[in-house]
Amino acid sequence: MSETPEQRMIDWEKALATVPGATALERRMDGAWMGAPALDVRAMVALMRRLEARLATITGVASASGETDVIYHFCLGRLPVNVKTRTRTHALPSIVQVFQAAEWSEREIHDLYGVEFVDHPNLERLIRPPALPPGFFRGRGGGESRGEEQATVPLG
Amino acid sequence: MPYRIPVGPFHPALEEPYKLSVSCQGETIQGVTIEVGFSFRAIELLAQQRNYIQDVTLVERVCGICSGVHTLTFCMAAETLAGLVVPDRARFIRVIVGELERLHSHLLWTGIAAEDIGFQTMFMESFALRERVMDVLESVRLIEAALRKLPEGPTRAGAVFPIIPTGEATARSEAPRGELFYYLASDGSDTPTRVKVRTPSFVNIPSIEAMCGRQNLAVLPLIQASVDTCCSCTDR
Repeated sequence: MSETPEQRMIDWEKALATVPGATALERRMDGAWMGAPALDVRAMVALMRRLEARLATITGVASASGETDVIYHFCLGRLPVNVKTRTRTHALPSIVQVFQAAEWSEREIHDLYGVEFVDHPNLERLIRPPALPPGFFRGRGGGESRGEEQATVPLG
Repeated sequence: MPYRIPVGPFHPALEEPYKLSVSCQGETIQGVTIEVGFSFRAIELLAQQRNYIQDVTLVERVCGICSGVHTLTFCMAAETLAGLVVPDRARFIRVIVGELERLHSHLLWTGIAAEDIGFQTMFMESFALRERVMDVLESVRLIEAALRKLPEGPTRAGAVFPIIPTGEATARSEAPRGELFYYLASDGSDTPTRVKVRTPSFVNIPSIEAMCGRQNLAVLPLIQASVDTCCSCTDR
């Protein structure tokens, strides 16, 4: 007999904690947050798919380290779950094969922060003006120019 | 013989600039590829160079149709960060303004969709509009209920603009076209370090590609109009 949605939701926190690189979840006014710089992104999204999570969007944030913080904003039922990780040498695995809705979000983050999403089916320019290079949001106002870490969940 | 039709970025059927590259076999659509970015203004980057008060008016410019809900959702994210409790009277007024905005947005969409398909197809038009009409009636009900129950009391949370502390927060609103999402990060200064806007059209427009498959070419104008594409929102 297949699982009911309620059964799938049971212990989702425990299941998320078993993903390689996972850290403790923090409960806030706007949902659950995890900051996990070395998270196994493929394993995390496979779990979220099994839990029938909805991917609302993905946010890129320039880090003073030169890498980019990438936040996956899911909804598990009515609960927002925000999972933050960090690029490794400016790259992360694409999650488009698991969540089709990530296609434009990953293209946008590539446009703005120059992140390479490995195995993305079409990492072409989306909203970036043709004359500008990928990553042009890293300049003034983009985070790195402030010379300090973004104010965020501690990343591990 | 397969052929391709470019529609846009500037075309009478399009409310705002974006491009549909349609491949057809006879009268049947084989596939559609969409390009956006023609209205890109880097509003997120601009918001990260201005203080919170300036940003309240800046984010209103993300969209010329649902401008109020952008301001509202940006403020909600900042309020979450600051732990600010909004007075009840102000919350009711927000509902009223938000629903009025939904009404005008849906009416605008109705006019554009009717223009796209022609008045002679009124029956089909009415069927396509049915769900939106229900949404409009629900907005009217919510506005009337909010006006009847509008509480007394202040509309401002405090006498001075609050300090937005270090941290990050998200906020969501039910905008006329769907879920509007803001991510806001602060370093404790008067200028946000990151403002991310995910608009409903950003996720609605890609669905056009899926909806067009195997459809008759003549249906394309209404399919693309059905999601009420907002390119200013999408591109920002």
